Amino acid sequence: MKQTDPEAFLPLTAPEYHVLLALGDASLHGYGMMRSLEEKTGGRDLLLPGTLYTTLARMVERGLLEALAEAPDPGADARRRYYRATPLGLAVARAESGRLRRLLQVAAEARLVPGS
Amino acid sequence: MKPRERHRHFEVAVRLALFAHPLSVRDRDGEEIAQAALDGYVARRGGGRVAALLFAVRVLGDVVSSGLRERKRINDTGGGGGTMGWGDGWTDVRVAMRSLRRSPGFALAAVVVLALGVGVNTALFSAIRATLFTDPPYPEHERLVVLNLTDSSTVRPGPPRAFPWSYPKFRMMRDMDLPLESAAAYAVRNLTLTGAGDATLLSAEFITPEYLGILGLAPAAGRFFTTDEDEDGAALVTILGHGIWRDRFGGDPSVVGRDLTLNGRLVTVVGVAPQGFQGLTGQASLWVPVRTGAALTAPFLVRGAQAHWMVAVGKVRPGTDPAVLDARMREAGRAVEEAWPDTDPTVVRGGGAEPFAQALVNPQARTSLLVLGAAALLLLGVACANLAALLVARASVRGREAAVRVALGAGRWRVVRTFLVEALLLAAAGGVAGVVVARLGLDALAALWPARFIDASWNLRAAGVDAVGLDPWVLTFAAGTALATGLLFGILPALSVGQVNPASHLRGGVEGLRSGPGSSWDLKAVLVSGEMGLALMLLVGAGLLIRSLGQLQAVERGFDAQGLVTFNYAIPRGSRWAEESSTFHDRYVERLQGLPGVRAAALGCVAPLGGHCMITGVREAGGRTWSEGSRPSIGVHYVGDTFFETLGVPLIQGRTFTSQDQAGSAPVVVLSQMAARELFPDGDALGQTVAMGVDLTPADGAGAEVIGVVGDVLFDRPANGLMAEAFVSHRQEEGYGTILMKVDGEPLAAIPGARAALAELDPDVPMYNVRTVSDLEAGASGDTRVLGTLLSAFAALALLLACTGVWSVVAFSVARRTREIGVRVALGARPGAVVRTVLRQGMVLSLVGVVVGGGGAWAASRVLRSVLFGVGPADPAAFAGAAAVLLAVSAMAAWLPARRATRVDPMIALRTE
Repeated sequence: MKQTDPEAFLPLTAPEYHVLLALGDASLHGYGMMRSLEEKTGGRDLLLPGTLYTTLARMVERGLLEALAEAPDPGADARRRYYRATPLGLAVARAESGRLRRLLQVAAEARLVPGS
Repeated sequence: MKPRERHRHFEVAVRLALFAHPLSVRDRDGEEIAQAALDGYVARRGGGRVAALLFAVRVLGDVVSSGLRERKRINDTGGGGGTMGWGDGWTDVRVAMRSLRRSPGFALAAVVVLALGVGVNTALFSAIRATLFTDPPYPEHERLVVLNLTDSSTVRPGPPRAFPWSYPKFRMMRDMDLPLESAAAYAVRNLTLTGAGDATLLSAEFITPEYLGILGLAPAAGRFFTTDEDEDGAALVTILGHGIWRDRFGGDPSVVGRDLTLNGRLVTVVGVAPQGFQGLTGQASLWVPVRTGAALTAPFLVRGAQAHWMVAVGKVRPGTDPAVLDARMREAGRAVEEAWPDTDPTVVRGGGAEPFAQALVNPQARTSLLVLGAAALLLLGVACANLAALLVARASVRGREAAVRVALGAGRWRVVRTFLVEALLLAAAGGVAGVVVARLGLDALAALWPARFIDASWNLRAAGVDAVGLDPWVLTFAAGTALATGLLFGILPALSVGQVNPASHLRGGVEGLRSGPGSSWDLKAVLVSGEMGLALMLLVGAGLLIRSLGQLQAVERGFDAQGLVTFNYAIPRGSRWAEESSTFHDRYVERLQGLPGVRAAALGCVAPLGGHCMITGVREAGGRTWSEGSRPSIGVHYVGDTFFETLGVPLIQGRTFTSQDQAGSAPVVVLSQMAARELFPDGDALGQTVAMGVDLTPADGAGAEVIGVVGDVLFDRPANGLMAEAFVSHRQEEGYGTILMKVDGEPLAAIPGARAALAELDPDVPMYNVRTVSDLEAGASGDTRVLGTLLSAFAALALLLACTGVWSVVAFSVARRTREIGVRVALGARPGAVVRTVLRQGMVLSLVGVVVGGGGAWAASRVLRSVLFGVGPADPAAFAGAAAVLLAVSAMAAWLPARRATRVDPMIALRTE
């Protein structure tokens, strides 16, 4: 039986977290995720294709993502496979963000956050 | 390179890298990974070449490493084990990668060295294979021959020279009984197309009807020429090239049967040539039969037996012995010359046949390319020796690490394998980087080496260097060599490490210090000396060419090159100006001189360094006459009044041309200083009469009066030197449309104005062949310059590699002898003495290299003889210079680590280990 407790997936690897951030609640293909993350982070974080696709496969396997059978809208590129975060995936992303926020607080108290 | 192509190389690299992934991943996501990588790459190209290249490297690394991680994951979880079979291999790779990461300097050096060796060789040999060893693209090309007339001289030494045919002589030869299926003649000339958009100057091949058939071509539309169309009174017809058919006529097949206006006459299109064919001259846009061509340009092309202007090709009957054909051609050439005897009794005429593929490349370019190929191999040798030295050094340093692993129970084979995998990884990375270097190298080669240097002549064109792609076979060879070196020198030390007794090595902390330079040092020293020797050979070659170039530059030019630009224009036959071209020339020059930024402009014939308008013999000068065969040669130029002032050629005596010198007035001539001195040794040239060869006015043979003497100008290639020159006014002898312009600032900036002025005067007169003086200089010293530049670059690379070799040997030895040096310093050795000892060790390597390489260079440099000018292949200055550079640079390389030896603190050194 598949694991359904979001906390059980933590911590996420950087590419996994990046994928969930890039997706949000949109449906994107792999290259779309690469661009989305680049835009959202101003190019400071990158997803590279080799890592991206092996990560996607593992996340689908673990129920965090689902691969769509067909392109989400008629204008989309039909040759590519599109992905969307499952409710579990979104919950895991939230849980990971929470974990990071707690860590950030610890860091701030230790004066390890820039500007603090 | 086109962006499309660069894109494709990256795609191939990604697809190769995908093999790091297990089959399951490749099947499921391979396409999408490749596509995403390409999209990202294309998107980054907007950010420039460097950004795209960096991204490409990161992506390739990511694809490989994610693949390896995936294999390991599957392996660890036991899933899909059947698709793997790598197991231990993966561990080896991981260990090797980790150990390479620990010494990034070594890894980077090895990859750079390999990339240079592989890249430079791949680029050059791709070019060499494409230009020298690729079959001509015509069916049964092995049966094609170039048929020549030849002449040799009874008074001038040297082999017979090939020269072209006149139309009547070709027809006579064609009708003889020779072992040829058929023969054809062709030559390229310019025709002006009007009536369809701008007046355009087109290159047309004037051909005999057999030409296209001999090359095994079939028309894309319509038909080729018939034999009737090569007879008197035939209609004017043309075959369009595929390019202008597509661009000007939209590829419409109904163009066949339509009329075009060529040189002011209507000509019927009968067919279209196949796609990609531009004639044997490589520049034709259309074809006309010789009769049509002569009617459009000059009728004497058909009639003149002494107008030698056509190249002949033939198709040999199957089974004919080339020697037999050559002999039969010799007889044929003699028979042709008996029918139209030459007036010069010292000339012996004959003929010959040359295989087509051989005739295609000019021998000088062949030599240059092969010399460069040899130089690239030397560089590959240096690179391989360097890599070997790096691997040997590393293996000896890591002897203890291996011993520890053996002692801890690792199998010996396992240890050896780690070294091997490391060498393989380096070779693979170097190979990939080598492809990048090769691609850049080909671009550089195409930029440096204008296609015309490869061509046998204006009438035969081989593939241009600019069209060359990477040759997979060549790449395989170069990468294979590097890989073999990596394996060989990876495995030798690895094996010896494997045999080592771990116990003795673990005690090596003490023993190693006593043993001094060991066998691995000797092997390295041999390798580095070898590198030095090879580098010296390259340095000598570069030195010889640089000296030649210097000698060529030193030849007095005789004109002021500053701001000089030249171009041509052609007044079409049938134009209203055709009968009064001198008026057109004068009016145009006047307009040019009024243009802003133009300091001076003049009509000329040929630009300086570009050759002569014609070369003829002097029949009579003053009272002296010369008989046929002994007439002094003189270059002749038809020029405008402002010619000398524009070129900055000084007037030494008398006057230059003025408006008084008209077609009807007394014929006058201006001589160059050299001509005046040769023809009138007493120095009284002014006012005397000179009569030149048969082709020159005045026809009655009375000669022309010398009105002035000017400074000598170099019209020929510098290697051929100055020559006696005579200048005639273009109003007394029909001139050519060559303009020389002296411009303030950027020379090419004046061209649009000049073009507009030409169009104002007559829109049907096209401008072409714009060249600056640096184009002229580049053309004139051609091969020497290109070869010199490339050999210097190779030599510099080889020297750099060899010096890193010296550096590493000395640095390695200093590191090993730290304790010994410390002891010596503690015992009172002065720093200078310590440095000298260490330096000596480095310099011995270089000296051995100089002796060995000097011998090699002495033996090899004679192949350069044909491209040298003013220096012999054993030029002492080049040899001494090369040796001095090598010794000085390698002394620097040895001094850097030697200096470190003096800083050794005896206390620290003695505490080492």
